Amino acid sequence: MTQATETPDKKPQRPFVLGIETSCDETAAAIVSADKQILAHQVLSQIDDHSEYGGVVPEIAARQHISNLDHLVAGVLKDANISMADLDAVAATTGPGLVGGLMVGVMTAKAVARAAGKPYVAVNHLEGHALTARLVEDIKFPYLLLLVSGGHCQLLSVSGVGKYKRLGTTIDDAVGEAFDKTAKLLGLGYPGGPAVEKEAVKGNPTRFKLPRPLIGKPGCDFSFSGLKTAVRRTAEACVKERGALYADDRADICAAFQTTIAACLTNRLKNAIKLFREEAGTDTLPLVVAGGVAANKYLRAELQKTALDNNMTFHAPPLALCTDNGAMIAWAGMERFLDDPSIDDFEMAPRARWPLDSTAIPLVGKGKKGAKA
Amino acid sequence: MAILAIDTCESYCSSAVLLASGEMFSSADAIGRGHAEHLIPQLEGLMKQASISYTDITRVAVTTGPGTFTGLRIGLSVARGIALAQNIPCVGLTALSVLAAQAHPKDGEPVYSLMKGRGGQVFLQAFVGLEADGLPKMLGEPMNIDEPDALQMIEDNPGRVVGSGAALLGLSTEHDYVDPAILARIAHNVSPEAYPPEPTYYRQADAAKAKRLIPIGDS
Repeated sequence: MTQATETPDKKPQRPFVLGIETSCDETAAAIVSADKQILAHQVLSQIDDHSEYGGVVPEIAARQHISNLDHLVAGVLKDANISMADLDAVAATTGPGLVGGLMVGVMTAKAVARAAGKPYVAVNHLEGHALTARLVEDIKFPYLLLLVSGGHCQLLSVSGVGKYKRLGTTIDDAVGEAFDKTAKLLGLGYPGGPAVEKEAVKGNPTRFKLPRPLIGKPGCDFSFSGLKTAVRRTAEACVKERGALYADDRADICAAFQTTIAACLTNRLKNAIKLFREEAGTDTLPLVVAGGVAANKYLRAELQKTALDNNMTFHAPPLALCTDNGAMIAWAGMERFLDDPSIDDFEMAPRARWPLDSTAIPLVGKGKKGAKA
Repeated sequence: MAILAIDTCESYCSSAVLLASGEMFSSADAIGRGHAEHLIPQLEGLMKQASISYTDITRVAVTTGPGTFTGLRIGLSVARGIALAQNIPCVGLTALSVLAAQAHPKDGEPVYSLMKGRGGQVFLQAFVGLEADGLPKMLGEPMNIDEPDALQMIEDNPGRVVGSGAALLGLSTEHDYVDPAILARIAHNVSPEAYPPEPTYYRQADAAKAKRLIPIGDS
């Protein structure tokens, strides 16, 4: 268990919001205050439970959530040195995500909220990522958001809490999924992001040439499934030549893969910046990068360079707040609670699919079924 | 004192409130689906009838399974959430044992708890007689077995049957769903330390181990 309890310098200001996250393979809880202090924050990763399966098994994830969540909530209350009565709202990820896990988080949160007489705030997991930057910095709306994780890859224009316009999304796999599948193919285990990044550092990015899907095409959409196939063919060619995939092959493939991903992301990002700037009508604007893939140092640096070259300020939450966590859910709950103190989403059920921009047309039929983006 | 009991393991969504006076308020609704939406309003309705609020509850009881995986976790989430918010103990009992208790098993006569499984299987546990706390005495461990094997076991050592699995085997029973009132009464007598609210699935998650996709060299 990783545990990061901040020691507040000054007395935290109410309201206090409890946030619960169970949408995938992290069980997490946190308490944040209105003045942006993380009073307590615990994340229980399930990596070891899923690694032998090469990916997240939904039923195993749900089993871990139910066995641990209430202990985690009790833990953050203790760490924050407050009682249930001191909370002003209980927020939980209500979608999108794996329904079995969402159900545990949502039902626990609703029961806690009702029994403690607090409002329940249904948080969209993507909104949690989208607003995290505002928890750590004073970033004003509007901003351009690049959300890159194991389940999502989109570019959004954020003009306020609950106000999102999708500029582009993946038409097939999410970018983190491409990392995970590459790692699985190369025998690097799960989760793939950190493993591929580590290999890539040792590799030569120019030995193999991989296709760069959609680069040079107009628009802000992404595509990674062709890249995945190219990685497989490259690895198979190495095996044919030498009988097996050796360490240098593996490092070189990872390096080529990572630079290709960077090229795709920055190319689409440039188009989005142009589009966003036209709409916003001002010159210098913030770019916020969020999601687990934003924890990749190489990609982070490349995205930062693109932002600065294009007269944008660059903002990415600290690494611990890029991957799934409870603080981002608590903070999104806080933003919604401050917007409307009479909020209570008790009637809202978990949603496997819940797009941030409800007006955007799902790209069904282009290889994308919605939940992934 | 007030005990709140919850069961969402199978198609029923049920809860009960037991007061110190012995007064019982209970509801068992055959809803099939939608336990998540049904449960909290149901138990709050019972609390209203009993004229109590969450702060009056001194203990929560919940069935821990077997049953549908998502269903049993709904009950466990709500029970554990209420216990956490009110800082009160939570007791977990298997649905198999509560069902058997409903039949008041006598010494020397087995009672078979049978619950619907998947893929032609049933969950089965045999009990004989009752303990002083109201729990049935175990005659064997709980198991997840093929329907014909369950039938064979019952034929070998005949007794009464309870639970949703009875009908699957073509057997008749007077108790085919958990009575939350019985759950509440037993929960009153047992220690939460001995019966924690941990899920009892009795079946592994369906998942295949990752295969090596391409040969990896040693050096």
